Amino acid sequence: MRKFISYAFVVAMILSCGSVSAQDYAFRVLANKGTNQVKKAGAGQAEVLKTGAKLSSGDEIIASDDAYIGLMHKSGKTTEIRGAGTKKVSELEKNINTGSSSIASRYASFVMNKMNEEENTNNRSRLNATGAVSRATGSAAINVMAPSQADLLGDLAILRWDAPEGFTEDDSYVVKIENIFNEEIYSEETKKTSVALDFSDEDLAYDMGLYLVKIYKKGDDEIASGEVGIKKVKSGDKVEVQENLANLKSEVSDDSPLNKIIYASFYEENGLILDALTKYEEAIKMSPDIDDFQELYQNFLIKNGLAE
Amino acid sequence: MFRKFWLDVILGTAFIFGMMGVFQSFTAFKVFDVFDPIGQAFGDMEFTDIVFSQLRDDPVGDDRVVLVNLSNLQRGEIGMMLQIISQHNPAVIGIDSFFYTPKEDTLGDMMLMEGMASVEHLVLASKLLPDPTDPTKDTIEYSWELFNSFAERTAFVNLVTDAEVQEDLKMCREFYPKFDIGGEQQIAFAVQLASYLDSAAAADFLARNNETEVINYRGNVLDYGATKFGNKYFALDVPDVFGENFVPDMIEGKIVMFCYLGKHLGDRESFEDKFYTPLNQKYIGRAFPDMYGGVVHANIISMILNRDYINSMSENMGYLFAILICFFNVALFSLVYKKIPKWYDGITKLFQLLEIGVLVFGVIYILELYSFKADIAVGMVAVALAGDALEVYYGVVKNSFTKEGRKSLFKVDKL
Repeated sequence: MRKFISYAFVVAMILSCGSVSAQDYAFRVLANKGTNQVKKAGAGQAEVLKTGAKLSSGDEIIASDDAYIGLMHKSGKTTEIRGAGTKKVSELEKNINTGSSSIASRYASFVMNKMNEEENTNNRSRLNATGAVSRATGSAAINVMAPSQADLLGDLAILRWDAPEGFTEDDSYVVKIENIFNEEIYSEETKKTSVALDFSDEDLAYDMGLYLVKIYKKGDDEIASGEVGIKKVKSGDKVEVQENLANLKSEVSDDSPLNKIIYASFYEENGLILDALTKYEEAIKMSPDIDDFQELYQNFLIKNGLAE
Repeated sequence: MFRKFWLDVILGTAFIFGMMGVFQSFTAFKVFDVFDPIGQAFGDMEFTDIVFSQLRDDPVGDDRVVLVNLSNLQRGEIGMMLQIISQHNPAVIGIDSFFYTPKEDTLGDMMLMEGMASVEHLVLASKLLPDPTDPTKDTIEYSWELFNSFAERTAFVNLVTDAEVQEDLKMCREFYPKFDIGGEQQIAFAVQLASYLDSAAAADFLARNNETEVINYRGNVLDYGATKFGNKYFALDVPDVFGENFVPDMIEGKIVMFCYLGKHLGDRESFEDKFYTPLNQKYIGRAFPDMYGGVVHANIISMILNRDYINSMSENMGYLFAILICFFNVALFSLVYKKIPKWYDGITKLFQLLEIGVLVFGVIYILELYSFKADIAVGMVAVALAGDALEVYYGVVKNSFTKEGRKSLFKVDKL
């Protein structure tokens, strides 16, 4: 019996080693363009598709409109997905040819393809290109003083923008916030040229912490700002900065305009431009008459390419 | 009789090479170029391009190299990306870009320096500026010294092309693995990066001691069909990095290269640092460049790590091959000329066509099977000229030197 158990143990070990050393995935994502998702086998909800992610046979890829996904099969062969649609990984696997054809047959098929190539003589199907360029009328008509991508450590972000030409006092703006799947999660209407967004608000609660903010002229979506991507810094990210901030908070309170400028400098030094910008805004709001604050803020904007 | 035959073969071969020389001296003045659109179109093409672009078996992807798009980011943002990537322990990070001078945006510069400081093994780019005539005047260009001080090593990013400036259209087939500047050996960027992952492979490659090496292209990154193999490397775009939309183990222990891959991944409108390569689907005539410079470096890295080099025929071997094949053709055609003159034109033309087909297939076959690039262009021209040139030799040259031949030129027989 002892002998049997020891044999069984050895066999089980060999089998388990075999299964560990085998590739435990069908594809890896080499490159990923678009807001694509993957629905894991047995999972109820789809999740964001990440570059480098491993996909198994039972998974499904949900490709967005402008999708371009590069995939590498476990054999090393590659394939790609272009355009919207749902693709089963098992189907993609079937199309992977892991074998190799002889050079003579490849040469023969190349010659045959060339021989059978037909010149397109139908001019109606040759009018896809124009001798002109297109310019979207409302693209970035509203200039937001914020970087196009920014991390946010605090909860509050103040965004300010320039009123576009031809704007009257009767006109108002709509601030829209979307998640990375372009689903609207928050919208606010204002007549002012700034908005304070509190990301601790329940309305903005969203696990991934990646927000896309855009400002539109009310009633005319053609007049809009560029997209501002805001990434909420999580507790495990930028640990050193968060520790330094905690030290700063223990020494300097955040209740006076001057202290807010100190905080702004701290954030700027640590590349947290949106936090810095918010602190400058708060300082100026508390002491609008102090020219030095205005000047510091202006220099900050110029230095960071947010104003000219 | 036997000696006379072989003397004719030798003289006939010499005559064909003489004709080729005369023709080349004419074309050296480019007098025919204006009437030669076909020659112009073929000028940038090699037969082996067909192998790379059309006939190769689909190569496997390479997950040891990760490309990160620099897009048009400011220095500060590049610094932030360096910090994000470096925390996942890559084997090395190479930046395929120059930062020549400090900017007024000192914060941006500081953020870049902070990013560089976070990288354990950083390789920065340098640019060779060889003097065309005097090697003692060769110089080398680096990024600003303060940035450079963060680099563990620098390596040159020059590639061999016909471009005079970076903005020119450029075809890249070869590169210098090393280059001597002022007695000091400089190493190519891709070779340097490869050495961090497999120092033995990089040393073996350098030990080949070739002045230039042919790049064994493997594939591209999201190129919308510009090449047949458009998807062979891990690539991260700017939002992928800032949103950390990637799996960290794809970075760990890998060669990471920060390079320009367009304003965004898959950008087909940016041509800065974009090359034509032998992988281009359109291997002849007008075409768009197909590959960003960073991807060219990645292909070199793969070639070194896989020890999958391409050996090429030396120029002298090419000439020797041309002489031998021309000699063989002249001997065969002379036999036909003397024994069955009525069949000469038909047989020689047919044989030449067949021979050129076999030679082209041979070049392709040898490149695919043995990774050997046979440059037999001179031999092909010799084969193409052999039939008609030999007729000129026997009909004009030889007759001009015999009394009977000269006499027959001025004697008109009755019809």
